Amino acid sequence: MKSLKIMSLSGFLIFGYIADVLAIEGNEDAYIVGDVVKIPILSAGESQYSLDIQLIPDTNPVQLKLIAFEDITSTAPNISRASTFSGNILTIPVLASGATSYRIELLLISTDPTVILQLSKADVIDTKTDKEKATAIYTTSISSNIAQSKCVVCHVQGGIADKTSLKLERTSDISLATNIAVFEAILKSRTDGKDYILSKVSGKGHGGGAQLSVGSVDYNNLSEFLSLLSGSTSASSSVSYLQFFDQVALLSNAKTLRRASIIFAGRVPTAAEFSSVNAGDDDALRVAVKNLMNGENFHDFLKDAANDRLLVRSIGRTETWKREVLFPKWFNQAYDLALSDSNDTSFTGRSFKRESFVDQTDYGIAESPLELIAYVVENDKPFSEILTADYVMLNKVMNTYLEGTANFDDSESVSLFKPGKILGYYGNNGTHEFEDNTELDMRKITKLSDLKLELPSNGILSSFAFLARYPSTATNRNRARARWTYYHFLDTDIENSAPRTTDPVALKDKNNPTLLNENCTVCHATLDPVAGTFQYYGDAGQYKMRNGGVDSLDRFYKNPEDEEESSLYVRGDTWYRDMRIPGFDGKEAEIESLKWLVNEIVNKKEFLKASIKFWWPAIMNSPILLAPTITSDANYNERMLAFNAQNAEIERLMDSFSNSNMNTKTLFVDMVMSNWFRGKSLNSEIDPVLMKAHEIARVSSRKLLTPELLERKTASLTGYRMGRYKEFANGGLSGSALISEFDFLLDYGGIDSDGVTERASSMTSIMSSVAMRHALQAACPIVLHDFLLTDGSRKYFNGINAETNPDSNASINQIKTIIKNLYGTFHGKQYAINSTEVTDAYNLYFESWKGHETAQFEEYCDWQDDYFLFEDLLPDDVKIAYVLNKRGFPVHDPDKGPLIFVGDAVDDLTASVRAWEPVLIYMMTHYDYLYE
Amino acid sequence: MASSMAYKPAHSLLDYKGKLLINVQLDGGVDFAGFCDPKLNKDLDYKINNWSDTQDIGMAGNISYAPFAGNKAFFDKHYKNMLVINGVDTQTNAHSVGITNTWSGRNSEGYPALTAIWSAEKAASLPLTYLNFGGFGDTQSLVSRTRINDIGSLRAIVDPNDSQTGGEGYRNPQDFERIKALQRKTLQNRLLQEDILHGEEIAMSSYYQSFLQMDELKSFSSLLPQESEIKPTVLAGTKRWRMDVQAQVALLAFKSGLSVSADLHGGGFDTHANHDAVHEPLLKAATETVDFIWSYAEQLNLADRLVLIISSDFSRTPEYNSGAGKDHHSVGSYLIMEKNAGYTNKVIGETDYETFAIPINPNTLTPDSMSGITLTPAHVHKALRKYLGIRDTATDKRFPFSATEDLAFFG
Repeated sequence: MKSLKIMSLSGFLIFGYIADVLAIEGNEDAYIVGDVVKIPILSAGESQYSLDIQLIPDTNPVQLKLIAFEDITSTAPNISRASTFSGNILTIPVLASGATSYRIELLLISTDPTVILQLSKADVIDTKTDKEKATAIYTTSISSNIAQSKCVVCHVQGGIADKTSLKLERTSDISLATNIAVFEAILKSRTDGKDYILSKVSGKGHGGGAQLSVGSVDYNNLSEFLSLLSGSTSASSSVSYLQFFDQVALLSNAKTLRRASIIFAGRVPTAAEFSSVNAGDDDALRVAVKNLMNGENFHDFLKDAANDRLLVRSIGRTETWKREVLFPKWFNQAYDLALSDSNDTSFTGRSFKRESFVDQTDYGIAESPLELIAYVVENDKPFSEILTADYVMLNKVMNTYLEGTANFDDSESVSLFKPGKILGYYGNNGTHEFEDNTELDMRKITKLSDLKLELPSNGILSSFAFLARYPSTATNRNRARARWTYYHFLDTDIENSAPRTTDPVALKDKNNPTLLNENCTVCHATLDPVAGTFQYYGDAGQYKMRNGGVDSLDRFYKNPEDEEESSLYVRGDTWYRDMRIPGFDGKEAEIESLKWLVNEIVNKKEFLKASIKFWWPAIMNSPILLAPTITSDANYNERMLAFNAQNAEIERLMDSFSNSNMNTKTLFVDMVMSNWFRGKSLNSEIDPVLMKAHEIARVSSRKLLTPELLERKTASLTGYRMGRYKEFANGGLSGSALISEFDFLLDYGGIDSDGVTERASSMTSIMSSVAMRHALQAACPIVLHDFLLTDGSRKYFNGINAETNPDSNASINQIKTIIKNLYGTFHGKQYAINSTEVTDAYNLYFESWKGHETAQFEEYCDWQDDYFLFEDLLPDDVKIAYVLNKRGFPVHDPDKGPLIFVGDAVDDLTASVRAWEPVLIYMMTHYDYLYE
Repeated sequence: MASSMAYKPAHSLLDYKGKLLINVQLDGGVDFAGFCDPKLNKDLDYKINNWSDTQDIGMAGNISYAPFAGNKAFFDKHYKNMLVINGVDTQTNAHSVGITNTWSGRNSEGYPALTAIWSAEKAASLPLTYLNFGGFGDTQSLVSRTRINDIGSLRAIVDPNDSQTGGEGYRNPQDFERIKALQRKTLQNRLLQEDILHGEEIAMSSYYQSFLQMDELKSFSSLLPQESEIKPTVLAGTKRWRMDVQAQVALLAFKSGLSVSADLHGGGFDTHANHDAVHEPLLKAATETVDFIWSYAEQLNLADRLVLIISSDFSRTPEYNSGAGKDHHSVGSYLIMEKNAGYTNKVIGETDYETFAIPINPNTLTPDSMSGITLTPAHVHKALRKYLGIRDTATDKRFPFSATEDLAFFG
């Protein structure tokens, strides 16, 4: 369907065809008589009407007035193709005029004294037959792009696939019709004809491997062509993916900004930010959204989102590479600290300097590729630099002990990363000299080898974390690294591209099947050359670890244990001779193969698509949809509809991403402006297929916050972080119970990047309990902290004090005003002071306050749960008594100073202060708080 | 639109007396030739395993096993309560496809885990009806998938107002009840609004349902063990093994009446290098976890209701590679355990000397290389659905195995 711009209608006007009177008796489609549009059936809510609307001359945009109507509800008309009225929009699905039909939307602009509607949208509807449409698609999009450039190479007389049912003609006068007939014959000969052809082109059971990726433009064109040719489109769904958001309204600018702000900035927008978009248009919103993209919370958002895809945080649990003596300075520092620890029995009886050092290195290594992504985005560099960067991101421990070139001050946090190069890498040629310490069971390097190597960097792909997340072996030979390179950066899931053969002969083939057996080469011809580009990296990611810093080939390949087997290895080789040579996309790699690969990748359009998909789940809070492959599956049509709509949006975003020189912030703004981010409502009369498709795609005005986003939101609104711990043994992380794997992260739907890699999308009772616990634990510290501040400088409770009891109209009004403001800030909702919502929350306050007159219950207030919230308010003799435990959580040491209860500083005799706690708990467990 | 969703009343806890389903997912590809489909080196021109240099295949009842890792103790103790199905072809060498196929019964995405189906059909309204501790957990929106970290975090949230400081609550009971009552009222009113939006209705009703069920988690409180009785995370070789932790949480959830199915997940079996050294402690840890499950289930008086399935994404090659590892091999096994069942102490399905599947006669379930069929995960899932009594249900019909033969694994 081709959309027409309203402004062009003045010369075109549907009423230019007034002479073409089309009175269609017995049909519910609207039609034109003279200057009147006759609408036989209009469905509005539970009622149906017939009505006539007449053109108002000389209006631009075109306006029409209601001249007649009749309630026909009692006749129970068939409303399957009826016009509809909802949300002030009258939609005429089909209005024929001459040879063309239109889908029309009219906006109700007046009801008094006359009902007047204004033309707001007119889309041309194609009325060709399915076969004609199929021929058109074949001619424009398939013949040259697919059939002649891909299929005909083998599927042609004399070609290697000329015995198959698909035998095509090379381009000639008759090839178009002939080749369409060939496809038609296949569709007629098999009930699964469409699926069969699509599975072949996507690589499944196809000797020629994958020719089109599922979801690509070419794939979708072929799919549509086959659907039309087989006549299956009309049966599948009446809704096109182009209509996916037709009946969806968008979030207002303010609400869009609020959700974007929570995601990117981890906070509610300021009044000035709201003001800038309330007054402005889309351009103002774009500016405001882009301005959110800075600061610590944006940094954390980028890293969390990147880890959701790369899952590199799970590698903190391995020390494999550190057992190698590749970084002698690091190796010796670990030794020295272990020695120091062994001599130190203070504090808890055992020092843990080495453990802390290792943790901080582990942290640095795991976070480094995520930091690279954040660095690229924050500094407006092209996103392609995540792969092409010739530097690595280093924290100060890495920088010092891997001998990095970045500069750090001693005062800088271990969680701060800077770009640099690593200079302290040594090949392991066995020439280090050591001193053994049998007591520690450790060694110290006493003399360095002479094999110092330049360690190249090729962005994420050469990062220790990526290489360790996808380790290799003597037989895997970097294939896992290649598989995930395709997946993350080339939008190709090779594992799902072809089923393994069930042919027992093929399965038992031991004659290098990945190179020679076509059942295996379907995937391996694509996969293995890319694996080869990782040739210099060993199993755990060590660079040029063998042969004096030349290669990383495994010793079994070089020197087979089986004496009858001769070695293929030739001195100087860097890759296996029994595998495909390193390369990509049919091209042979250069010597610096990984550097060559990343430059190839970032120039492919698939990289653009993969980049959009990389960020989609975190920003849209909805999954990347897979194309359904089995037409008999439940909800196949809905899933395909949702997939196609999402795919179309991703391809639209690709264009602007490419035009912005891959500026990720611009991409984020485009994503926020998208219907997928802003879509909020569905017409109640919506097509059920579309409604289900929206459900599958998770189109909703509010979405569940992740534990990380909830933690940031609470911190930004109140300063409180549940069970906060700070930089220490945990590698420099400043964390809290809500985002810690050891506490509630998994319970609240987060991931551990290892066994649990998919975030929860809907609430469970466990998650509800975590949210409740979070609010219960937080309420007292938040309220106390605010009241400890001087009036006027508080976040929420200004203008009142511990003597402000709800016993006069003035104080009640003060309390309600604060509640009203809390709704505005915590929920983004503006309620009147006498609204039900404010009254309900006030009653919570009042009942709690009143209950304390007779209360026997001592509520627990764990202010030390977030010691850091109060730290600036504490006297020095109290502060000094708090020491960080191993995890970085402050604990009180009674030998060092007094233990106090900060609540004692607030003289809350009538409980008017702590009565705010139930209000806060309610606010923080409300749907509008947990979902944004 | 006014909400059309019916709000399920809180399930009457402890009413459910039916079977409880545990799916043990061993992630990465278990070497079944070193477990329940043992092979000897003698028939081969290469070494299929190292243990058979010195040992013969073990037998426990009618079940043969590899005398490797902790297998002997495991099979000797439990053979009477297990059915082994060997020679199941997952039709893939790719982890993601194997995972999908083994635990949903189909090698393309779109089908839910058997455990999710079980919960949906038997106790969809329970607060924790389906527990998943990682790995495959596709629900296809049939039920909510609950994740729980460990008993420590659980203790803090089953009764969120309990500060764990000896009886003190964060708020007094009256306040706490008033907050919850207002939350319920607010959600209920919102859901009844005429203009509630479809997507929001789904999200809001999910929160409402979970909020209503929050109080039911209290039934966990009295069951939570003392610190000294909590199963810890352990090391299996160099890998962290958390399946004991998961199993304990799952069984306690069953006992509390809040849950009826759980996927337990343990990884690390992808042993392309140093196979024996890495696989042995992991397999031992896995069998010890299963043994713990049965003994703990006895202790909780749940053992008679338990059905436990052990499987993996696929298996490993018969031969060692040059790095003493084993690579991916598509033919694997399922091991199904239940007490006092008529189908146990039995092996169905065979592989040849190189662990390739031997087709079986669909009627006799005996090897039939000429005209038999090769077993796939779909056969196992179809039979399990029938045995468990969830065949021909609405869910079964929505995710059918129409083109798969019906095999009488369970009699």
